[in-house]
Amino acid sequence: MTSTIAYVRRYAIAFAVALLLHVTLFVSLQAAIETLAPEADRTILEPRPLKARLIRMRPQVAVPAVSSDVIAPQTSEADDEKKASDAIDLEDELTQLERLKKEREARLAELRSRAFRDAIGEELTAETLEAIEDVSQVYITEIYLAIVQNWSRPPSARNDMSAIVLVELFPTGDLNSVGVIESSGDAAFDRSALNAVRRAAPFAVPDDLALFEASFRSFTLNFKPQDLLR
Amino acid sequence: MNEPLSVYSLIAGASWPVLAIIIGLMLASLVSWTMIVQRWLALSRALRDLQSFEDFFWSGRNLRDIFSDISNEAEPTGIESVFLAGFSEFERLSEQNADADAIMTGVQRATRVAVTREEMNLELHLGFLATLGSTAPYIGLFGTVIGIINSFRSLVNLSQATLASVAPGISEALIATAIGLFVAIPAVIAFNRFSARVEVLTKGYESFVDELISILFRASQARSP
Repeated sequence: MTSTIAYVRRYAIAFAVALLLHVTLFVSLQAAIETLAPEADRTILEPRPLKARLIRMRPQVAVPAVSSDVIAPQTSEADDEKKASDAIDLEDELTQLERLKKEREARLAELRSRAFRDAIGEELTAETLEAIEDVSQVYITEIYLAIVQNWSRPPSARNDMSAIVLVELFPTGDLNSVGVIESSGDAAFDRSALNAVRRAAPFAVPDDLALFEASFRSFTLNFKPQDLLR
Repeated sequence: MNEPLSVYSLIAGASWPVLAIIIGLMLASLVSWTMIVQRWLALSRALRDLQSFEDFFWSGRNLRDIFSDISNEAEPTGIESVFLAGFSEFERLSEQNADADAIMTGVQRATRVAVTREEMNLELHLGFLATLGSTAPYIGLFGTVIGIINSFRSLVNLSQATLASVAPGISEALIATAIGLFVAIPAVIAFNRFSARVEVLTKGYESFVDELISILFRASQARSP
């Protein structure tokens, strides 16, 4: 017992000093890295009018009534109301998103088919639609490959990160603008995505203006480093 | 949102074998610094004690007075216990009326034992520091190699191998080497410094023992002509 006390007394001061040293070093290293790190380059572009118009076109859907009894039959009334309103909000948003998506798809399909009809002057069938899809797909793949080749990911990149980038092109294939719509939460990662697009430009785009307007005037890219170790 | 190249994220982001090595090295660093601080305090106290004892010893007082003063102390310091061992052996043998040569041999043996024991006390933990200083870089390197192997294995699923796909793993793996060096460098410096200081102290003890023996020899010669 006394030997234990003597032992503790002999090493307590030394251990406290060692611990203090380590904590100080860790904190100062952290502070040094934070001050030395470059300022985050946060240029997030606003969505362009083309996109804004699409958003404004969102129709006012009727709020579907959701029975709160089904969700929480045993809770108090106040709770019921709150949950009900939450559920309705969610439902509302979902339906709106759904509609928006459908509208967009319809518009795109229409644009594509019109372009093809104009070009070939033919009746629209499932096969011709597929052909248009193929033509777009070739260009999309090419753009994708060009960007991936020019993308150098920062050391801070992780598999679960994802940055959505809005790219706008001129009909010549030159880059009009590029900006982050949805940040990954990591400034270096966002910058790397923007740089990849800038380096990959100019892109090969279809000569057909309608086709260009449909898919290449403005499109979003989702950058995800899924092939990383972590 | 900030630049997450923090020390913490680099360490926490490592894979588990690398993480285990890093944590082990951190603990080793903590222990080694505890030893360093403890040895530093102990050795500087021993040096101080040696100087103050020598001043006290050569202050011209009677050896018997010095002996009774010191034997009343609760915890005799290193040099004091050497003196106690030598002088009590001298007293014991003198009372037995041994001849001068037998007394001198006995005193020499007793002081040699005491000096060796004190040397062992001074060298406590120095072996640990030496081991840590020489192995910590290798342990860190081992972590780095594992990290790099992992990071290259991730290339298997890639169609084209870019620097960007291996760089994150490697930069995290290199942290292990950095920490290994961080542990090893102070340990090696402390080991060398403390070894030198132990050497100085041992030399001090030995020269004191020589002086003590010559004084006692003269005393025994005077006593039994």
